[in-house]
Amino acid sequence: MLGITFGSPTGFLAGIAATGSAVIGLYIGYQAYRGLRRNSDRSMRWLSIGMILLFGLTYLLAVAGQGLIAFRVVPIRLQNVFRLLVRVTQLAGLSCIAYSLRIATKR
Amino acid sequence: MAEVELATVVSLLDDEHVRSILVATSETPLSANELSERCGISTSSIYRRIDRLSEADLVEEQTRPRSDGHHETVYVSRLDQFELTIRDGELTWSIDRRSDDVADQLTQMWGRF
Repeated sequence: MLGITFGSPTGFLAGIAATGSAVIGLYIGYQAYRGLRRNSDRSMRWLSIGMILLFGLTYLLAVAGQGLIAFRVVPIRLQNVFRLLVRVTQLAGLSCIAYSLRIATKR
Repeated sequence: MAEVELATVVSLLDDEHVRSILVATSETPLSANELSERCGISTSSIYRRIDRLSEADLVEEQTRPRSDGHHETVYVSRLDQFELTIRDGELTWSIDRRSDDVADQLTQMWGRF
């Protein structure tokens, strides 16, 4: 999914890298949110939402999906549904960032 | 933020060269030599004005690496907006300085892409 499988050393490292991206992505999203509050800049709202979708929500979905499947709460055949959800969230996040860039450069 | 008096700000802005310094360094950091060239006055005149501007916290010093490996001091304007209002028998004024907060920098940078 985002390469989060905790079984092997490489899987563990991939998990750490994914967590790192989520933390850094959310930090940028948080600064964008502060930019929105401080400067009431509309482009910062969409940048912030985009970063949160792209790094926060996809990470949560990937971890939750992997966990639910690993503990057999959800049957493995639903793995592709989680994959789809992650991809759709990524697409939505990137669209928000692209829209934010469009507003920002139009000023 | 340094406390500054209205008279100080007004007397600074009354000087044509001070205005040129603020305008030029609002766009890009410049050294005293570059400012001297742009404004057409000696570097000692530039330094005198930079000192007064720094005291009022309207100009900030930064260092810029040079191609020969040394660093040189460059100046950046911090003045964003100066507002004076006289209304209903009252005079109010305010000065906004450019911020070095990450969130503000991000907001400015994002639009420049």
